[in-house]
Amino acid sequence: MKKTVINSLLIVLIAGFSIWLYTYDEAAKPGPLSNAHDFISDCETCHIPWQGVTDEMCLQCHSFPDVAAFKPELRFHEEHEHCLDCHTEHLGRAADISSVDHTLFHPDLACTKCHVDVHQGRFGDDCRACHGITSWEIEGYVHPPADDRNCSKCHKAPASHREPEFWSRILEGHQIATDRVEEPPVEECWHCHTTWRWDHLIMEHDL
Amino acid sequence: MLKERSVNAYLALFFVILLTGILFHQDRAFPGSALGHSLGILGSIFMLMALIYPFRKRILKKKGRQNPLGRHIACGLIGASLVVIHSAHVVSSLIGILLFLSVVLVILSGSTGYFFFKKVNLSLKEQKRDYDLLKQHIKKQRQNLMAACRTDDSSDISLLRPRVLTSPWAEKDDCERWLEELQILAEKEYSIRFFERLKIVFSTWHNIHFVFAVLLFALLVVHVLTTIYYGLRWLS
Repeated sequence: MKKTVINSLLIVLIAGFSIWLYTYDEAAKPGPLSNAHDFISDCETCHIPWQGVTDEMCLQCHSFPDVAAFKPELRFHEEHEHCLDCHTEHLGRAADISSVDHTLFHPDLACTKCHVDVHQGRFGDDCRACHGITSWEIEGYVHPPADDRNCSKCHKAPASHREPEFWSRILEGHQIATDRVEEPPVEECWHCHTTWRWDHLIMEHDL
Repeated sequence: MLKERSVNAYLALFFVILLTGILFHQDRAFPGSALGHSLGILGSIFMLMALIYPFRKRILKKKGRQNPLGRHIACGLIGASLVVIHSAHVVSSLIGILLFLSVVLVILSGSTGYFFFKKVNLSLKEQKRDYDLLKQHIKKQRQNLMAACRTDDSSDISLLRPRVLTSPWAEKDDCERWLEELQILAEKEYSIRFFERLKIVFSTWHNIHFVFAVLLFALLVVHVLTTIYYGLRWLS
């Protein structure tokens, strides 16, 4: 009799605790939101009860009026409909919720569909012959030293570098008379670029 | 073919190995995936199947071979292992942490309780068997001595000792051996009482196992409800 009473009491206690857990929103929270969404305190801002997070809920804040204006790496949003396929939340404040797990893509999907070919076709269109799917870096590859000065073997100067306006701005900036340079040295990349990072320029000022 | 006991031992070992994986593995995407959810559902079904044993035991009063405990242990271990795989060692929410802990505690209370209770029960049975054999042997010896001493058949063993020692027909070695056997008998009696007390203490593991199991199933219901409430990612 005594044992039955104790067991019944324990069951009632456990049931009460479970009901409290169910009603306490924080108990179900799988992890902190990222810094971008940290201001959201109410779960229902994104989660529709019994439905979850829908694309419509994301689009309430993240509207895409003109996807065509995006940089090429982001244009695939034009065709992709479900935000949660790539974006996952509750991974911690410092989590990068915009990172894309490339292993989820179809193996036949062309990289150039989203990425710009910085080699401009010099190495063909099979990016995966050299690049991995989880990292853009090529394992074991060591870039030739800067004094090698054979950049043009692999790199092609973008079209902007051949425009007179581009060079005139640079020459003006360096206070060099434009008539002193007849032809811009677009193949002599080492004047401005470093070998360890392409977008890092030797110049100390902003362009 | 493997015996049921060996299968359960391997299942327990597998569960422990899975648990240790928490030290070096976590996959946040897996629990919410279609495969992750399927394993969670399958694990829950196995854990519910483990309830057949207490139901048959308590309600239908089926015991022994009619209601084998081995199947209860196997279902519990398979269910718990599948649930751990489903979690992919991600236990970040309060409900998740409590549920994971309750699974571990149910398995721990069940297996250790079963192991120690079985050992104590077996030891008690052995002690009782030895005690009965020794008692029979002493009774036979007493009858022989009674006949030799031509004394009355007293049922009180303690009264015999001075008579035996003072009996002129009793050999000295026989008396010493008989005293030794009586001492062993007394030790056995003490041992039986000790193991009986230990059996009562260990019988409480069953209550602990019961409480943890109730907590586990209550948390499981909360986990399922909150998961559906906040949205099933794989279903959308």
